[in-house]
Order: sequence, then C-alpha cells, then structure tokens
Amino acid sequence: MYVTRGFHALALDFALAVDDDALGKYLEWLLDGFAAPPGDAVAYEVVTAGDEPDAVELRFDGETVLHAAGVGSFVVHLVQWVNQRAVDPAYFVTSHAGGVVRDGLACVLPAHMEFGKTTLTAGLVRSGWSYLTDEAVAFDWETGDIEPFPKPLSVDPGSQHLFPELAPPRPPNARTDDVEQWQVPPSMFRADAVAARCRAGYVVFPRYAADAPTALVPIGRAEGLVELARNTFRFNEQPRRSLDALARVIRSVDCYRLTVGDLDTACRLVDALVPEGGNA
Amino acid sequence: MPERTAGSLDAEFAPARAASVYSVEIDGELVLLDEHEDRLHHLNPTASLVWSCFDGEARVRDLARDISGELGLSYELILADMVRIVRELGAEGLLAGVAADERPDPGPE
Repeated sequence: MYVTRGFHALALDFALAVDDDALGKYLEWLLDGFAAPPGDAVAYEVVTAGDEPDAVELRFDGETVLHAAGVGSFVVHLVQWVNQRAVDPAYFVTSHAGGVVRDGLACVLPAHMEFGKTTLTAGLVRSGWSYLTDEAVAFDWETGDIEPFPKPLSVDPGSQHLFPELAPPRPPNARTDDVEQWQVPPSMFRADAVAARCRAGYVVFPRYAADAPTALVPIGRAEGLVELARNTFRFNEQPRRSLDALARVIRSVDCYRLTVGDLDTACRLVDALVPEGGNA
Repeated sequence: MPERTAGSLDAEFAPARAASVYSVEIDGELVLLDEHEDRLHHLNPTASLVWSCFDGEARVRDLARDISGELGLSYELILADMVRIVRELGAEGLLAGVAADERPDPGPE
C-alpha cells in the first residue's frame, strides 16, 4: 500500500491510499502541482486488485466513487473527478478558465470547452508564464484574489503535436489503447512552474479558429463581465453575489477577445500585454 | 394589471424595472441580471442612462424631454430612441408589467 501526501485542490483536500506502489508514486507525481492541505486530508483508496481484470476504482469508506476499465482511463477520470469536487461556491467563486501569471498578475482565460484553453495555457507556460490552472480560476469572494488550482494539464490529441516535449510517461500497466488525452503535471514544464496566489490583471477570452488570423481585440469591461459570468461554475446558485464578486475583479483588469489561429502568435500577443519592465 | 406587449409601448408608457432584475455598473455601462430567466444583459451607455431613469412614474416622453434638455439634442430624436430602447428592454422581459417576447425554442442540446 502506497499512501500519497495530501493535496489541496480548492475545496477538496485529499490523499490517496493506493494498493499498487508504482501507481501510487505515479499519481503523486501527477498531482504534485497541488500544495499540501492546510489541515487534514480526506483519504480515498485506489484499488487495482478488484474482481474485474484491469479495472481501477476510487473508493471512500468502502463505497465506489469512481470506476474505470483500465489504468489510463482511471487517471483521466480521476483528474475530472478532482475538477468537479474542487469547485464549490461555498469556497470560492470559480470560472471555467485557464490562468497564467507574470510578475504577480494573472491573465485569466475564460472559455467554453473545446475553445483552446488548455492549449493556450500550455503555450503561455512554455513561454515563461507561471501556471495557475487549465480549468478553473478561483476568486476569493471578498478580495478577488486568485488561488491556484494547478491540476495536471489535460491535453487533447489534437493539440499534442504542439507540445512533443510534454508527452507524459504512460501510467504503470496502462494499455496502449486505454486513453488518448494526456495528463501533464506542471512540473514537466519546469520545477517552479506553479504560480502563487495572485490577483487578476487581464481577462482574455480565447477561441480557437483553425486558419483564422490570430488577433487580440480589446473589449469593454461590462462585456467582459457578462462573458466571465457566463463561464462561471454554478453561477445561478448565488447569482447576485457572484455577479458582484466578478464585477470587483473585472473593474481592475483589462479585457480582450483572442482569436487563436496560430498558437505562437497568440502567445506573443498575450506576452505583449505585459508592459516592458514587467507589471511590478 | 394585464401585461402589455413590448410592441405596444409608446411615449405615454411609464417604465419600471422588473423586480427580478439586478444590476451592476461598470465604466458607465450596466450589466443586468434577470434572475427570473437566468439571463445576463449588457446595456450600452445610452441604454444604461435610459434604464437609470426608470421609476415607474415618469413617462417616456417626460424622460425624453429631460434628457434632450440635458444633452441639448433634438427631442424627437431622443424620444424615438427611447421608445425603441424601452420596447427592446420590454421584449427581453426586463420591465414590470410587460410580457417578454417569446423566444424560439433552442431545441434539445
């Protein structure tokens, strides 16, 4: 039995007790972007030695929380499960967005699924920005400060050719046909890739459009607020409070729309938002 | 009181904001949250100014006269703009006593 260290993932503080040492070490490596929890972590079991060959389960108190047919798909589902459990309006107001940081100011990248959040986030981290998240930017309800959610980046097959250096090692005993999406820990960029708590400086709404000219266009903050709210998880559970909190964030940032036809050009345009000499 | 249709609104109408609408202001523009419909609306500066004048008592033509005097612009032009804006806001279900226009069914997702 291999017991991982604890991980702080926004509203979810957890550790994993894995019945396969190699898989336990792999998961600890994969989740290493997360800081240690401030208090106790909830212990979940990862069971590979169940009745079904190749199947892997996540269990809590003996109950199955997650079931996957193989190790590769288990890793993908585990990351998705962490995403879902980490986002809780009782903790922070959280937008569906990538996030990167330079000089203490975050560039928040809100977008729907398949709009290229992870690809742009990965491109910016590769170009020197620090990594907040590729999925969920969590704003403190009162201060608007952002708490990092440095999950493994989930790189879809269509973007993997852009990042050959990020091809992760296959999970132990994973079948080659088990899964196609890469789960990439931020440490694969560099050891100090994960950002610290920060505030937002820019909100950029990316949208991948194959063969379109890459362009960064300023938009008004009110328009930005509407877009940010529409990309906020469970906004309707506390709509007025959420709108007020997001408005506090938006009032101190610049907002843009980014059409991404070419990743390197898009990264250069975002880089150019930072004044010469940095934000400080 | 029966609800009016947005298309019937005219200079004699005294607009009032629907109780389900919450607003925040950013750089002189309003973002409206319609909690009844779970929808967000972004008003441009002109529409934001018009919206801020609604109190359920002043008629559109009175508001147009005030604004045209304040800005030194043609009353007729301001009135036409205001009637258009009031009808648009009414059609979105943002005004008390005005039925929102029916939106097409988006169909299954």
